[in-house]
Amino acid sequence: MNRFKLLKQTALVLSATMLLAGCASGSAESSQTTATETQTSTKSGSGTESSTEQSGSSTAQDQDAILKDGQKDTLTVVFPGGSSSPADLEAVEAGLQSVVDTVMDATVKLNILEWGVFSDQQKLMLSSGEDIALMFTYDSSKNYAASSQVLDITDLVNTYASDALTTLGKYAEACQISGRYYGLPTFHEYTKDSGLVCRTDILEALGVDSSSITSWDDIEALLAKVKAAYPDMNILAPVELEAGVLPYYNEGLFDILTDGVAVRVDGDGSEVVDYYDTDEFMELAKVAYDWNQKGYFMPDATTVTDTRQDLLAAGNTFGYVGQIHPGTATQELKNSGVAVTTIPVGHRALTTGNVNFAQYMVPTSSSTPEKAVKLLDLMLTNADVSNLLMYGVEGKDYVVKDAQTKVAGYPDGVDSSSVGWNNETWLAGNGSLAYAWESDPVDIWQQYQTFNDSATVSPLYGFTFDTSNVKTEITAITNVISKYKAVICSGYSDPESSVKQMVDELNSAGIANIITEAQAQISNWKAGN
Amino acid sequence: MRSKRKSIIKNLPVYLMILPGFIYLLINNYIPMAGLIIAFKDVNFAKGILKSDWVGFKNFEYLFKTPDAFRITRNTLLYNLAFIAVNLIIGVMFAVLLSEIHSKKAVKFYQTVVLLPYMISMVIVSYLTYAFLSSNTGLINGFLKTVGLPEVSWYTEQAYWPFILIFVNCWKYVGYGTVVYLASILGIDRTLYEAAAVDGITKMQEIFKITIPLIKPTIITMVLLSVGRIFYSDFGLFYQVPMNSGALLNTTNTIDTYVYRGLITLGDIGMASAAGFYQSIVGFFLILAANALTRRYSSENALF
Repeated sequence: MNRFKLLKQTALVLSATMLLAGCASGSAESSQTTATETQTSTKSGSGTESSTEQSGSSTAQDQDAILKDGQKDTLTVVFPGGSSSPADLEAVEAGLQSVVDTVMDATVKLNILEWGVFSDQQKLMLSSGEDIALMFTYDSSKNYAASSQVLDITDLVNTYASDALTTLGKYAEACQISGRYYGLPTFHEYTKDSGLVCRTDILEALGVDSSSITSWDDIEALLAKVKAAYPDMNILAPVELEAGVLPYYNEGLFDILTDGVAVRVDGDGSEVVDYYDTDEFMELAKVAYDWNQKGYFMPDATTVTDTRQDLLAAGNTFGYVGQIHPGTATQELKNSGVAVTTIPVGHRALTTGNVNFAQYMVPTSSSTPEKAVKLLDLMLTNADVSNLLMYGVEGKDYVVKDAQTKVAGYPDGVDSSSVGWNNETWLAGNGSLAYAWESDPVDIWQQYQTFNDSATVSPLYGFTFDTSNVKTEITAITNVISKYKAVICSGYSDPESSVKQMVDELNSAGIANIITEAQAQISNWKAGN
Repeated sequence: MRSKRKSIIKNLPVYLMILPGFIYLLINNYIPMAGLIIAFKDVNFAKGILKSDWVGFKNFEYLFKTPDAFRITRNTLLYNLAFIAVNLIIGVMFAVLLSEIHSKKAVKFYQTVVLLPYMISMVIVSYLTYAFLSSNTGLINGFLKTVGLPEVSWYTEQAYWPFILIFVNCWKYVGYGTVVYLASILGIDRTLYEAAAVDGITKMQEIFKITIPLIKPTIITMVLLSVGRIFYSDFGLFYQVPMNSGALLNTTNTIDTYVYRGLITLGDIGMASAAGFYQSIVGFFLILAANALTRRYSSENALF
């Protein structure tokens, strides 16, 4: 949990291993060369150079020579999940293996890290030089690329994952940093709406038609109605722990470059602003204060220790205000067992951050980046792989309910608690190639596609903010934000004074420097486009 | 010369017994010291740590160039001073009280009770605290409600937190000190007390004239050790126990939590190492200074 300590430890362990490795590498290297000549030639020990030079102009034949070199390299894929050893892990691996065998010589291993340890473990794995083929990230590749923990795979992607590039289309662009790929995005909702997610049974009991609700004012009227009918109920739960209740109120209006620094999605992207100093944030603060005064927020919203799913399941919570996309209702049903209705009333924006936060990267320590990228290509283009990663083994974890409409569901006697494999769309490569789940609409993937394509494209789509020159300021403003954001988003304090205080502190923490830096980088980026 | 070698050979088994501990120290405490250079590097994993670019003191800037720098340093220092004082006074008090109990079983029992919190993880402590302080289900607010006093929103009122944190820290750590002090009280020669009793000493005099002066070396050692860590803050105590509540940051943000909050988004090991470097260097000099003071006023109790 203590990541700071962990970072320090990593650093120390690392330095120790480097010292040891420094002495040992000479002999190890030479013995390896004799043993596996082909492998050494494909190994990209020091990052990008070697992989670039050999994949620059490879033909299909060259590709095969590298992919089918007879070496059974282990390709470890690391991603987070609810359980580190689901019952059917080996069966899924075997299924993947049979697909991989047709394409290349490699052994596929899945390493699932539990959510609670994922972020710490991931950082350790990336810094300890473990041989990992594909590493999932949910906070984009930016920081990993900046410290060269992951490879620039631009040329490899063009060679080995051209199909995936075609499939992803414009959504692959978001993973470029200064025109280079450091990973490819999984299929997920590339934009988000915001609005109310609430219990269907209560809506029905009150006779409310959710399609009639189209604005925040309508939502407020609904909340008032619920409050009147169920005075003892917690109306709104915090959307995420320690985030407060309304952080997503302004979703889709801004392209956030780093927390606090943003550009307006409906502008031309030339004006970088301090998000917490905008009219929109002030409005959020006022609405939050007002709603909290009216008793719509659960008490202790910033420190409550139960997740919204637990609160919903416990039965005394009406809903929450959060991000909404086509699969939200199903996802919440799976997580909390409560049927919910989603009422989107916000804005949708296609921003770099909305796409590139979830992607698979190839760590610098990977011994076979070519095969790793090929595997990524399979994950993004192969329907069998998608079904395996999404639903597990056919016949055991899922059965095809309707081959015509491509719908799958649990086999008889299996449910979400007894199934041997569980995964989420945004972790599983390209879920849109898999079957639709029986509880979802048949055209769920089409809905995703329409939803994604309907978003307003941010003027800065494809731009990634490099924060390395303003780290000091970012540390400082992050602390200021953690001091005020959740409090304001939960309506605890008078907006006029607290927002002003927050803005003042952000200013003295140097947010202007970050804005200037972003402005300069954007000008360069625009000039280059 | 000859006799020296002889004694080495004679004591060889003893020397061999040192070996595992020595290797442990070397691997765990000395080799990692080389990692201190990370604090001065812009770490690039493709180049490796040794070949990464030197950046001088750039990684340290964020610790000093912010308006929060004063606050986090002040919080860290003052809390730790309070912890040292409170835990010392209460720890010695408990130890003296325990040493006055004659039933062996009762002593063991109380000792265990006092020490138990020390074994509990801070995350669990934070939930125990939450059970008391939570707004709608907390024990304290429940009590306030029954006696007709206004309820307090504990996790948004920063003024209470210095006391809460000192209390929680004391509750959790005092047992450790108590056990150490008790052990050293039990080591005091009983004949001293008997002689004093013959002279008609009062209980209070016994405590202040015999017990405390005789455990002074232990007290000084314990204090010196804590002084060395005065620039570190117990992350769990300052992050978990206040439930990371933003409204409390003025009184709960310390160097460790500031660094954690700031770097959780950046994940920069150079900057994290810089903070660790800064803390340990300051701690090192503080220990030297404290030890020098001790040597000046009671040289036989100095650590080195």
